[in-house]
Amino acid sequence: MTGLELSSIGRAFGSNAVLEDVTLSVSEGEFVAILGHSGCGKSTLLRILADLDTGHSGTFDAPKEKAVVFQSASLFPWKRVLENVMLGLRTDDPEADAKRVLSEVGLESNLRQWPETLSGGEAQRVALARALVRNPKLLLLDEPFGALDALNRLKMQDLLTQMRSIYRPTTLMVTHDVEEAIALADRVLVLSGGRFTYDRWVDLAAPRSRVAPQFQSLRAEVLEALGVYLGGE
Amino acid sequence: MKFRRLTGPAIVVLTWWAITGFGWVDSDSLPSPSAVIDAGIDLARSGDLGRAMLASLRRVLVGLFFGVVAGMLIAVVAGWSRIGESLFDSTMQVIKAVPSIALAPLLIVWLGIDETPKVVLIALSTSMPIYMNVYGAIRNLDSQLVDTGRTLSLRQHEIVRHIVVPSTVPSFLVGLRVSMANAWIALIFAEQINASTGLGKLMSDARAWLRIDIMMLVLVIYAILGLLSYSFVRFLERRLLAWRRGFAGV
Repeated sequence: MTGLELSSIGRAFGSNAVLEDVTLSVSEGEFVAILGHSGCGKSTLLRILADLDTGHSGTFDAPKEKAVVFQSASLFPWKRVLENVMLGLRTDDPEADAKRVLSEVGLESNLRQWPETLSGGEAQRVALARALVRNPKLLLLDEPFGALDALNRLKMQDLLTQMRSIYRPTTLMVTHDVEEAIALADRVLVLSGGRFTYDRWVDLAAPRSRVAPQFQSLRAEVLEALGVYLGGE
Repeated sequence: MKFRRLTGPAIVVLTWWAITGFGWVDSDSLPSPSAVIDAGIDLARSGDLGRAMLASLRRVLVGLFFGVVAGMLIAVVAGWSRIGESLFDSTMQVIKAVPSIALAPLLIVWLGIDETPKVVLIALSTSMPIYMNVYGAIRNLDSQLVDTGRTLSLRQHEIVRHIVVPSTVPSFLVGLRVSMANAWIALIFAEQINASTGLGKLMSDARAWLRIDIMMLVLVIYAILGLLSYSFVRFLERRLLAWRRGFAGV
């Protein structure tokens, strides 16, 4: 299994059903962005796929080699950058692999730094390196750039595109940033009321210009699917 | 600025020196620092002081070792697993409610009058601060760090070793400070009840013979040992907490 197959995933907390019937088929190497209002269950879905939540109904089929990047970098403050990336890595030469990925994300000179001395963007790059060094077949991103400022977010989005071209994992990204979803993903979905209510391929040529009219009209369409109507027209 | 921390103790010693030097108090009830040093030199020459310190130090180190290890182990088990929590936490709370010093007479009845009850008393009173602090730290651990460990496919014992235990180090060191202080207090009690040698024995002998200079000497030794244990913890903090950027004061 290298793609991702979800069939009728449901999850309730007490009497509150967050996910009701989530069904989705993603093929290998595809990049899917999931949008939704806060509390719509998108992070819960990601936790289920990451095997961090086991109280769900329905089934899913996913590759075993998974990696997760959360909104907060979740680095271990008592381990240096290099050790954070190496932790739990079971390859022949973990140190060399970790160093290679860290230099791919532009942190080759920060190996010995403590996480608390990193900027938000740098910390998130370490988190991305820690995920990719495992060569995951499935990359799960939970609002990975949500805590960054606008400039850093753009840089990180570029970096993610670049890193995906090296590692090519099937990618599922939860985000609340419509532009980010359209700029990066092959396919945009909206999660609402516990199921997907919108599913659209992004058929824009790369590199995607955010000011192109096609981009803007798709953005308006996705926002509409989220229940946000832009003025004009 | 390295010795800034010694300012407080230095002022105390200077004041003591001034009070006795100017003859403001009777030298029989408060001997001068030099008289205390003389008493120390006498006792050191006869070998009594060295023997007493060695015996006391040994008790404290052995008791502290067992206390710290037990406190840490129980805290990790109780903090990590729900079964461990049910088994140990309320038990530890009950033990905490009983002042360990009150156990001294019973320990002697149960364990005899040799080294064992003394070491056990010290271990009991040093395990509790470690347990409380480490257990609390595990309960406060950011659950997302544990989740992250799981997503990195760490095994249980690796999560405990690389995530849970390192996260407790700051609190462990706070506990260790209290434990070391407790160790010396427990030592005094243990040795005054029944001991053939040790600082507490020296103290109770001095009291019997009204040798206030020796009593002061033992107090000064306790103070110096306390200061040394404190700087030992500070040393550990510098070594083990290099990763932490805490508030250093204005």
